[in-house]
Amino acid sequence: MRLTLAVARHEWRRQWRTGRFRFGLVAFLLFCSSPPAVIFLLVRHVHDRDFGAATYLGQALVMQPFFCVLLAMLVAGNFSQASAVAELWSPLSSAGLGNSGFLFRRWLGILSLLLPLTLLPLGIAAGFALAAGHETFDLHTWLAAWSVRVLPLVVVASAAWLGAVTVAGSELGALFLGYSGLFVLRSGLNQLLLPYRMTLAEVPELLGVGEIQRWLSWTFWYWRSPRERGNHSGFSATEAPYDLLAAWEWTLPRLLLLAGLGLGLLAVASAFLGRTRRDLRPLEVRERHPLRTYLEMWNRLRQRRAPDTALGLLDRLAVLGGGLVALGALVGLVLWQSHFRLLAAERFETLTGERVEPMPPGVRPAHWSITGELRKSGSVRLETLGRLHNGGEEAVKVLAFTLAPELAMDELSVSGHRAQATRAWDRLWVDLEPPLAPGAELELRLRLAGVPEALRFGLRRRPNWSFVRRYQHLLVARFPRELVDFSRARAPRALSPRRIELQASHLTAVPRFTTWQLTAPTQSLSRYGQEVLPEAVRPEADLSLELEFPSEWLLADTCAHTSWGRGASGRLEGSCHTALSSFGVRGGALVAVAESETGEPGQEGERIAVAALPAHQGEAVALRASLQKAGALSHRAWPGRRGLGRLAVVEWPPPFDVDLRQGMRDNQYYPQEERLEGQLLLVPEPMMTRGEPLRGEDLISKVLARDLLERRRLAGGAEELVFRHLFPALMLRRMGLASQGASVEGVPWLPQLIRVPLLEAASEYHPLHLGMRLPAVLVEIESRAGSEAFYGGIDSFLSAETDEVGTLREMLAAIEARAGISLERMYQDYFVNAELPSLELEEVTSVRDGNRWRVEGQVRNTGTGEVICPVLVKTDAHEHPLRVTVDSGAATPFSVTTPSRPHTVLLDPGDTCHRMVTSGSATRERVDLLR
Amino acid sequence: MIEVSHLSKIYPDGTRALRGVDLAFGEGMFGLLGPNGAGKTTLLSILVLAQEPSSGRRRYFGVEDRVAARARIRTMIGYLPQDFAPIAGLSGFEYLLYCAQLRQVSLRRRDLERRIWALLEAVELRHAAHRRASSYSGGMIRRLGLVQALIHGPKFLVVDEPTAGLDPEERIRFRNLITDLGEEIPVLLSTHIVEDIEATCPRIGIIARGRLLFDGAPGELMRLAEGRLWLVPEDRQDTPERSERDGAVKVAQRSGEGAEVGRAVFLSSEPVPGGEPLAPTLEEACAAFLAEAGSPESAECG
Repeated sequence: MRLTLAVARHEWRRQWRTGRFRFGLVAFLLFCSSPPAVIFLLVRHVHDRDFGAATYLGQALVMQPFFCVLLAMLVAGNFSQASAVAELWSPLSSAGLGNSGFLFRRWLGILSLLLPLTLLPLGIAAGFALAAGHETFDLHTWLAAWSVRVLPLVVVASAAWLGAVTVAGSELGALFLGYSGLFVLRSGLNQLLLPYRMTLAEVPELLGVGEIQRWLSWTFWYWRSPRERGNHSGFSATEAPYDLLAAWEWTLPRLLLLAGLGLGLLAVASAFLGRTRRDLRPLEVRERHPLRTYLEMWNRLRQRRAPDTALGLLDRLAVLGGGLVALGALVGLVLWQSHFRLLAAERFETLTGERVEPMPPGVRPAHWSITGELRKSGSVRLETLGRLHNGGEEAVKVLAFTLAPELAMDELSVSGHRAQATRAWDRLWVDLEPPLAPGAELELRLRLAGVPEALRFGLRRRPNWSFVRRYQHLLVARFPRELVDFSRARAPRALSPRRIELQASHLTAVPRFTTWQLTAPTQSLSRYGQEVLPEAVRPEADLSLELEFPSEWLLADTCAHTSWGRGASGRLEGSCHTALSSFGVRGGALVAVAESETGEPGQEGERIAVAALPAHQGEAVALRASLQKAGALSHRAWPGRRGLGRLAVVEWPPPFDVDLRQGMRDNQYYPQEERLEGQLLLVPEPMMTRGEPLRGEDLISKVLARDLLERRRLAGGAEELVFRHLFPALMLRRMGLASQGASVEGVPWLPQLIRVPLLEAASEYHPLHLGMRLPAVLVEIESRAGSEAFYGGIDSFLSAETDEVGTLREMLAAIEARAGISLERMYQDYFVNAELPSLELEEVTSVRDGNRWRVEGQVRNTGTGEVICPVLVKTDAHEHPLRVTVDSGAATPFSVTTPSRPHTVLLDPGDTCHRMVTSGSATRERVDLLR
Repeated sequence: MIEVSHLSKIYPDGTRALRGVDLAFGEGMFGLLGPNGAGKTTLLSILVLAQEPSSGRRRYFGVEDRVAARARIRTMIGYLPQDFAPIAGLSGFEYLLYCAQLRQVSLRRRDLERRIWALLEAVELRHAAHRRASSYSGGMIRRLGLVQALIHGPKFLVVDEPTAGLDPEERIRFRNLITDLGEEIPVLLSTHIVEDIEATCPRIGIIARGRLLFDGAPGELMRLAEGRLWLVPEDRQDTPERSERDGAVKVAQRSGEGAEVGRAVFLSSEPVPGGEPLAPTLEEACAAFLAEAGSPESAECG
């Protein structure tokens, strides 16, 4: 210990006295690690939202990993070069210390210097957070994040670099050794692993280079144009508690090989300390050998870098141990990979298996109760009592359910029947003896235990492909690059302090009514391979729930029951009538703000419970007030609409490794928009910190829109998406809260992007079109049809008593019928084709004719598609509204004679005709006649 | 007592650097002489465990050399290498402290510092103890090197070319230091400056072509040459420098003073024409010894 301390002291003393270290440290602190936190501090006032302390942490961690590794290399490589070896020789020559002992202690000395230094930038960011008065500062979160993102990297990088420089004799040599070593090793191993369908992926993700790039581009974008940054705060950080287990699960497979190689290299470096003279036969190179220069260089390198002779026992053991550590890391990685690969194979076999029979259609769940306990460790113990009724005409021999594969079934019993369970991945069949007779009921009792997970195989390549197709692709892979490193797969717990996401199949066996048969390739929804369709039959049952959970968690279910374990363990309980397959429980370390009630006196209103992360409590209170107001407003705006009962609005923290700016994780989309699950409205965290406060009416409109959508069975596919976006916009219009007019702005740097048919945009799920163009088109429809015909038409469309699937065209026809106009051309132009008009006033003149004035001009459509647009001529005494119809590329003249002096001609002053406008449009849409 | 027996070293390229060297020394100073390439450095390297012999045994104060005993043996050795360089950036004191700590000197900090100060005092470096070692002169660096070799209290000291490149005054000071040390612990001194050995070592060894040819007192070496060395005025036609004349072999040369012609030293049992008998110096005796031993082409001691 004394010796270790002495070496550490020496390391500190020596490093501080070198210019290289001082310069490197200053650069590290000033330029490399803290800028994101500093910039956040500077710009947080621009987005005056409730950011918490963890946002500073997230910002500080953007650059930390990469630059901490650089700092580690700078420090570890400093005194291992050839000149330093000569200096080291004398102190070491007579030391009873072995090479490995010295190197190990030196490494510890380096770490004793590095680790406090890597804490400094976080300390600076923490200082900012505290100075900004954030009360939600949690030291544990900061240290946990540092211990995963920085600590292991510094430990591994310093060991690897110290070892590599000692072996190679110089930093350049070490770079060559490290890079070529990793490259050759990975390539070689991948060839060896190819027959076993395994591969090792690259490891640069750990350094967070991608995150730095995104941060840099965002910063550039942020300052370049506030308009372009939109509503997103741009800060990819969450205030949710740090999920240490998920973080390690993500980090470890990426780190394992590097750690093994790094520590192995450090151990092997014991043989290269240069403590004894080299004892190597030089290569004899002929005078005229064609590779003489190269061979001589190789000769010199060999002689310089040959291992030390006669290593001590400990040193030999260290070298051996180093090799074993590296090998162990590799084996660990392969085993890890193998584990997930077997799981993937099991899933594939199940998906492509022959047993696909679902629950017979006559069987219906009548009552379902779920009781149990959720534990902090992520495990659950659950008991289900379900009553099933056979309403069919045939006896039922087999029941089919979906059940999370990670849950073990401790008990299965069926009243009055012998039950034999068969499981395959997430499928559960229960064979009944005797069969369930028609009209009979049975009671199913299940006891489940396990750790619910959300398994992700990380099949990154071709993310649009279905699992089956991607796995088939792996089976025929010929090269390592076609394979997938399954060690990157993850099984994050569904119950974690960061967020709780329990699906119905995590809680109980869910009756499965849709076949598990793989779709034919041509019938597949995604068009990218065969898949099993999601459950389409969702019979409702009486569900009662009683779940105990640890303190400080808040749970909400899709029936809008909420419970907050404030200071003590909580209990989520309640009952509702719901579809079992849609049921779920969400939550996390959230806090509840008091419930509010909406609705006019005498009407059924909504009880709205709001929960958010502690750091966003202020935003949540404001949101609750806004929701209350919007709820009341909607009652007035849409008299007779159904009350929605309870509604739980819960802030929804992102999963562990999602980039909030991109909203992606393992090619899974993390929604940037609210998600409505039953009576539970999940609000993604970035929405709480958007540039503009979250508006209650936007959320209420989504809930009400869902209500409208459920009134009638509507067309699927692209039309379904259009409807899904159309109805919230419709609700906002009806409440008089829609701020958008009929004109749309193109994206400045890509103006043509807006010219996409709306149905095509829907099929590609492009928010620009559905979020911006669709509401604009609605404005024009309402303008042309008149509000009464517009809303009346939609009402009659939704309430039509027919089994026919409702289509968009049918909805427009209903409006046409009431308004007596044709919207066919508009439908063709905007929904089917990529037309978008662009208008301007031309040749506008005003001529006095006796005591009257005559105003003439024309409206030109420089875009495409037909447009019917108002023109307003303003005079000293009157306003003369006109309506002109202009087709693609055409110009339509207009003329007005007026007794008073005209002064202005305006094109579409009410913004009611759909067209594209640009920054210069305003001058082309207004003519001042007096100028 | 440090003993090596039948020590051989064959390098991988086939060079036989040592051929069955037997040597034992246990007290005082032992000077090692030999021409370039004779195997001096190899012998020292093997003695300080920096290199492995191809065969033979090493024994240090009764401890047989085995891999398991290396750590213990290292603590017995004090070594001042020829290319000694202190760690840049540290002061002399800090450097010595670090050396002592690495060698796990079992003294309390205060006692250790006292020892360092005492050693610095002995080598007259106390005044520069807190100066960066990189600012030291060549002599000061050697003296610092000597302290680092002694800091852990070794049982014997190996000093390789300690006075090379030093000015005369510094050389004498350093020589005296080593002489004093030799009274306390065995010192093995290897140098090409025969004068240093002559002034300090009661016992010398001559090594040539990997063999230890002589092991005894300097006087004994000189006695071997007595009556067999002749001083002959130099003939300017004699080229190359080493030449034979009437069976006599030229082994050394004494330069003339002023206009005086230089004179060559010839080895011969018989008087050399024109020559006069010579009372040899140690260097000349060594050269004569080597010449007689069959290494006339490298008959330079050091």
